Amino acid sequence: MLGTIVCLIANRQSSLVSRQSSIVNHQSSIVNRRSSITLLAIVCSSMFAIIPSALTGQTAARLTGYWEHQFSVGYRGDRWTQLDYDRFRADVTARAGRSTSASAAVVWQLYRGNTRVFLSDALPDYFPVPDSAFVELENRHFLNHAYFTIRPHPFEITAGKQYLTWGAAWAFNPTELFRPKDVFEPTYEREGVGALSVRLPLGPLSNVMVAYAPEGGFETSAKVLRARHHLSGFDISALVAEIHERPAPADIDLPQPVLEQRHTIGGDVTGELLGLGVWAEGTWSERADETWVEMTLGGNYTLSNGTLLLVEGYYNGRGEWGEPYSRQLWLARIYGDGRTLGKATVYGLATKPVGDLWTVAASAIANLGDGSAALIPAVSYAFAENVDLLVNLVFSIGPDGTEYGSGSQGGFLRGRVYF
Amino acid sequence: MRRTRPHHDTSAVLGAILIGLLLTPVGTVATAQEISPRDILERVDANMTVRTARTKAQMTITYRDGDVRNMLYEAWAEGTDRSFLEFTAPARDAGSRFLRRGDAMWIFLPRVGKSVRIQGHMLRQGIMGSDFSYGDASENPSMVEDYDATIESEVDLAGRPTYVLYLTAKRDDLSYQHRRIWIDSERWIPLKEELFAKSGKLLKTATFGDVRQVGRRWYPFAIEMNNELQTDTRTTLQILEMDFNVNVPQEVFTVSYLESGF
Repeated sequence: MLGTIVCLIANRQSSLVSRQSSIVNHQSSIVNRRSSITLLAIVCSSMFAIIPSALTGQTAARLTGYWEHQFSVGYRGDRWTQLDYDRFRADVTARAGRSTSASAAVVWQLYRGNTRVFLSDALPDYFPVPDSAFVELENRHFLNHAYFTIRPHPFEITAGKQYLTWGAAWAFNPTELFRPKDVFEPTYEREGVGALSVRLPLGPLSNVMVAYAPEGGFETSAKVLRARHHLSGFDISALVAEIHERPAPADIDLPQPVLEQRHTIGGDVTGELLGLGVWAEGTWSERADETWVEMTLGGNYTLSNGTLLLVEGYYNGRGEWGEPYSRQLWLARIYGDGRTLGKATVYGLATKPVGDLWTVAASAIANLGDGSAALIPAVSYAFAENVDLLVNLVFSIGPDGTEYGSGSQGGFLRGRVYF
Repeated sequence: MRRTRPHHDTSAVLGAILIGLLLTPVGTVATAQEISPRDILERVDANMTVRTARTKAQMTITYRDGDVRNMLYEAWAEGTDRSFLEFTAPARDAGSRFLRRGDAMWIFLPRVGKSVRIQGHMLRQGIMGSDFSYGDASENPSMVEDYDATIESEVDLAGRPTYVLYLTAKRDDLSYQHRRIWIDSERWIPLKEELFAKSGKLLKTATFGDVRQVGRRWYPFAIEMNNELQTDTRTTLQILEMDFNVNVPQEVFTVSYLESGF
């Protein structure tokens, strides 16, 4: 569970590995609350500005969102931890004719319980870290995305914090350069990326897109060129990118290094083969003196009783074949710089509707090098038309020091009400 | 309005099930002695021949305990192989969109901001938890092309005279290898359909109702689908609005539109 939390923290761009005092945290939360109120006022006033014009027929606006509550527990070593959060998301989308649309979502998230995640709980015994090293989960609010799109023929231009989500694979997307998935919950929503993108359709199922994501100066900003085509029943895409990443520090006490330039080329293909849904996705990257390859192959099959079976294999050229993994890799994992510790990972998923409103799912992630695995059974229940309940467990299998054996046992209960 | 080749209108994406209606002057009656099974299917196909259509519909899933889920969607269709659908309610599903071009289908997940190809046997999965599968939505509307047919009998069904046709798939990759269809022999619309696996096992039963005359055609505005493998669940599709031969911009049936949702 702790591993899940750490992955979650890293993946969702919670950047602080802090040793802040409780006073500082308290002050920070006060500032956050004030900012939240201000942000709420702005969003609400924006909605009122949009909705009346929708009544005139000039603009169609829609307000949706959800409340989410999650309670999670974890056990590692001889210690139980609990974490509780409330999450509220409000989405506003608006369309002005057929040529302009806008979308924004604001999220507030409040944590309770063991909000201090000690890194010693997320790292193996052979990587000792002081107890003073921890990640503090702080209440936060943020714009999940906020962008508008205009369509001056033949282009489609999107400006703002937008979704730049790519790749055909289910759990491991090598071409996902900005917001890698949480492999413990690949379908959970992710934040957008502040960028300007221009898309040129080259047919109904083909297009070319250029994206520019400012970060520092022009030299350190991300530039991506991506093309997509549909050929003989297969969706094919290719991308070339220059992005800048902040690698993990060499040790826990050291500051994070400056941005490093990374070049990546890659692509993906998805389609149907012998009745199976199949996909392949891969990249070649270079950063500083390092080059590496990532590759994912996968397929799915649905039985006549509705059971979906999905298998995916992932090769990570930056990983290692087995323990002990280097400090650099462990830290990279914590900082979200890299997807796995191991070179070879297999992911499996089975879901089946049980009864009318229940769905049972089980996923497993296995590191083929060190033999560790995580089993994640889940049960979801559609309690009402706009209410979902989810119970999700995580069982870590393997000795301490392995990739998934170093995680904790745990699970969470989550409820979500949509409006 | 563009000039395109004639095609079936379906109740947009889901309406592949609705396929097969006819366009014969109302009241024409033919006997089994003077009409072939192929003629019947062609008349059913012809009844649905329109260039474009826009549909608003409500999908209702009824569970065994009486619990009900309602979903609303708006859809556009052009030709036999292009359709676009967007769910507008409930909040949980609002903004989910589907694009079908030929036998290829994509779904856009609004909270992830990503479109996903629906492929292979994933087509067997129910759309938004309903008894309609993605395969139902993406199959070729023209049964004449995909099935060999025989006339089993002529019976009255709900007070209407019908031909009962038994269809056998010409290819192995179709969702249903056998179908039995009750076709109104005056209005040339299906009134009931049974869908079978290759083994002969009954998979689903569709019942067509709320038949209305639109111009010179008759059209079922409601379909009830029962998944025989899941006990006591059923999904009803009720067309709320339907406009034929509307002007549908070409960009609607594109991946760009699917992902941007103008």
